[in-house]
Amino acid sequence: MNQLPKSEKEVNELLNKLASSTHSPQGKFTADNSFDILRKRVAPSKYRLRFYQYMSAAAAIILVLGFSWMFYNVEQPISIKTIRTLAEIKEIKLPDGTQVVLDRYSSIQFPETFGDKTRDVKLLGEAYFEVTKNPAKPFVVETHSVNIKVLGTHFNVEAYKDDPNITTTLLEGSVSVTNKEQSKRLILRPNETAIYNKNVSAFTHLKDVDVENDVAWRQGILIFNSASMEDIALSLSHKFNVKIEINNAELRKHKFTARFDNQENLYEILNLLKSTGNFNYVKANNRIRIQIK
Amino acid sequence: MEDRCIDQLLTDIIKRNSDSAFKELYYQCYDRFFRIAYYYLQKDEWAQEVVLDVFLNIWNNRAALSDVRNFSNYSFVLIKNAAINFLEKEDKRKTNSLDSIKEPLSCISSPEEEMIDDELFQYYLNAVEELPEKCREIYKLVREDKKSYMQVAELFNISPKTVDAQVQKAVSKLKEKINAFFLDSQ
Repeated sequence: MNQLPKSEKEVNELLNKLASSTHSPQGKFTADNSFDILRKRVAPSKYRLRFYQYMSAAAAIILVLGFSWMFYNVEQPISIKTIRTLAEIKEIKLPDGTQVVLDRYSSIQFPETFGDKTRDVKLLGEAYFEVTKNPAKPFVVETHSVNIKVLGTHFNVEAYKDDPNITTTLLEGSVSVTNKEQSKRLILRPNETAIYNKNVSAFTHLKDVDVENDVAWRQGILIFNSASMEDIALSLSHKFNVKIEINNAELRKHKFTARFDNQENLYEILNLLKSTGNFNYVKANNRIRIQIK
Repeated sequence: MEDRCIDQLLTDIIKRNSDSAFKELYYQCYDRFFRIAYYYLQKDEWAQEVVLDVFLNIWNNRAALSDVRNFSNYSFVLIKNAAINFLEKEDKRKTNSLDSIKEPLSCISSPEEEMIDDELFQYYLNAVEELPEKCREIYKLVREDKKSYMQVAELFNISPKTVDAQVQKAVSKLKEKINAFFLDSQ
């Protein structure tokens, strides 16, 4: 019924046809980028509820203050919304009209309607806020170690769970950044940055900051301004959700200045940095190891 | 997260309605599903549409999964049917290039011949999946995604020579499999 054994030439042709008949998904068709579409199609309330359960179970061991406190409010009568990103940047509008741009692999939680006294949101990861002015109802961003209270302003917060530093950069308006214990506070003016390190419970106050660098991620641009390899690795591991290790202490301190504004992927960025001749990297077991050349 | 095997994931989905198991299943299967859908549809947008639809159906009808013996075959048929339905609905059957793939394999488009083509394609799909990981990824990038040797060398941090060696290794294994396919069906 079927064909006779094939000649070498026929087999070659067949293989070429087969290889040309399909390809793997690229760009916006990848699994990562398509997952969000799928999530929206699965009955939203059902999925979200179970998502909470999954998160609370996993959170206990790995994170200290990370996610567990985020779901403390689940039992309250007002419905809480959580928006989470994977490998994409999302624009969100909050109930009071505040605009948020949420970076990759980050999540924000807020109530469907804000309370009477304050407008509270919880953030894990990185986001940029343009808060609508309401002096009677301060806007408060809670992260794992500090609360940022604002009156009506544009600012950027970076608060990843594996990073002891929480960075708040102010573009416009006025904010006060307070640690959870309420023992330390810093008031920021425009073009200033507050970096709170929870390990030493101390603020670093930077003035005359080039704020555009800190918010360039909204356009998919990554800027490193004399940044140490250690900081770069941390930033890349946040942006691409992959573990990056650097074995060499000297290498960790090595500084780079670079700008990536072509939506480069992780490997393109690593390769470009690598071409300076200082290091090599290998990919093993879902993590990247950077080593001295 | 370690790679849980498909059977374990399916059990979790059926028995515990596990979102996380479904998500893992999604990430493990998406690429393969896409490649199958693309084979029939030849368009990225349509392939994505059909694949997401199939995943949605798998989730919504997860009870039916308990009857499934072989998920690999089952999912292939799901996607194939979804793709063909999609084409029929779009009424694009006449204009799509599926026929041009068939041409060299069989000049007669009888249902039997069509099945052979699908069988061969499915066989090829599985054969590619059985290649060692690095070899497989390199082969797919070069031969299917048509990336250049330099691009792939950069990506994996190896020399173009190594890329070539891996491609040749894959090609020779796949040709072996194709021969075996035809010998088996004698």
